[in-house]
Amino acid sequence: MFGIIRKIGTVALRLLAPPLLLIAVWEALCRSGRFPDAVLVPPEQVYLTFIGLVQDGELWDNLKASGSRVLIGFAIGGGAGLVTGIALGLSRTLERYLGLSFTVLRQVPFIAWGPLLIIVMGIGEGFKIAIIANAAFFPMALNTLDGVRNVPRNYRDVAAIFQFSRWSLIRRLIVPASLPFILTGLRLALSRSWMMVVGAELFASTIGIGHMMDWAREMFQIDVVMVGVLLTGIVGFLLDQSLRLIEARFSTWKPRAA
Amino acid sequence: MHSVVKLADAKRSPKWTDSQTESGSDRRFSQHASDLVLRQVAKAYRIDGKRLPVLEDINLTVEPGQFVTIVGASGCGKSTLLRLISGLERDFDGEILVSGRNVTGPSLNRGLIFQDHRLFPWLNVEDNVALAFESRRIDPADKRRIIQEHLKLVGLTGFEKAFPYQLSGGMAQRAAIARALVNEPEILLLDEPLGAVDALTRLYLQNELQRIWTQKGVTMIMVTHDIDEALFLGDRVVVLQSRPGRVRRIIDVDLPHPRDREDRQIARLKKEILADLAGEH
Repeated sequence: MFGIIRKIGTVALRLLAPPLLLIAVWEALCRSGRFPDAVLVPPEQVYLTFIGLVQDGELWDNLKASGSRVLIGFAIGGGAGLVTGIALGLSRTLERYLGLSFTVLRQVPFIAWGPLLIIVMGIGEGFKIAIIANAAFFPMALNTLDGVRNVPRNYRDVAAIFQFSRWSLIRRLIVPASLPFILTGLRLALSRSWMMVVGAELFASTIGIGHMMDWAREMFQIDVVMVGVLLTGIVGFLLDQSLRLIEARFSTWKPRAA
Repeated sequence: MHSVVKLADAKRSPKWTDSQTESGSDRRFSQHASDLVLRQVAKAYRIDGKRLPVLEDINLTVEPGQFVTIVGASGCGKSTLLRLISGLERDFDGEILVSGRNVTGPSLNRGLIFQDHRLFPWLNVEDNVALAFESRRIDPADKRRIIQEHLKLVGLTGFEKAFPYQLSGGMAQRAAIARALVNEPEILLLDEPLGAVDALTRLYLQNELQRIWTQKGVTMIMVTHDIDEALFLGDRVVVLQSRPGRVRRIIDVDLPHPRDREDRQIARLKKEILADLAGEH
């Protein structure tokens, strides 16, 4: 019983100590008077700004705008990545034709697609979704491809013996066997998408968390920028954690590592 | 009555006619009644451009409902032979005929059981067995019923919802046997199915296999490295020699099933087979 309490205490300490320490250092630097308040806003001020933004609904509106872009872009890019990964993993011919291009393209940092996409699509909603989709595509496709390649040959024999159609093969074997890889791809794709939406909104937008930060920077409202930075981190963390939970949920068939 | 016998006698008298009619009737026999014929089967792998023969000159005829066991040292190509018969490997020389038709790929009429159970770990027992129906249209109620019947046959009633990792090795192998049987194949190929279970479970599962074989009337071809097992179960025991795998000899075991494991004839045959296999080293 005490053991459990001690364990919870240890975990809580491990999780909370670094941010608390950071806040303490931040507070200390503010009090030292080396930086003007306008540049280094004290933690308390940032907290009050956060409450204010929540109360007047601005934060929520921006979050909603960013969130829906992420969802759409992630759905398109992740979906395309999944299909591409499975197709490349299953078809030797396709891999021979596309493998090289695919390898070259994935070396392009996803932010580098920005200028090209702006030229093609302008700076509207389409651009933001395209750049998010692009960021989600590669981690999804690569992890899925890895997963499909790692499906044990032994299981493929079973599928062959029972004369699975291609669709049965994908549905009954390839996808479930690669699920751990696919979920890792999903998690990476989602966190890249989230980073990308903030980036894209800094480029060009009229609403969204990134826009809020960009606009605040121009207005020299460093407290709002800080709220944006912290919020981006927290949302990213929550997305990652919820996908980890899903990963755990979908691997119940695995013997738990003791 | 007398004249019939005479007629038969008369037909048999000239020697060359005799052999001709016999071989003629033999072929007809093999095309209609015989389940499985292997003629001059050979298989080689290419490794670094070098041809590595695995099986050579395999000739074998298996009658329907027979239990044939294949023994040999490891590396004699016994598993490969089963993969050829199952249709998983299509690249070989010679002929493999099932009811007179060439094997060109897998068929639901030929089941295959592996040494490892190969149940999909993300599916429970019931769903694993249902994989066998994946390429067939079948009424869901019938499907459930057939699965239930076969789980009962292998003694796994009550374990429908269990996942493979919750089963012992023997239970998982029994689930795999159920999965291989639900399509009522006429030929069941078993690739060292009891090689990975403990000794007691093995004896138990040997009896189980025999019971299922009797109950289902299915032709069984089982590869094993356990000579006792081969002699306990097989109507015929095919002894393979290795590198490349060739038929050393085929032994007919004329004893009724179920057999006494301590039977003197079995003991004698075991000695002979051991001598055969030891002879190559």
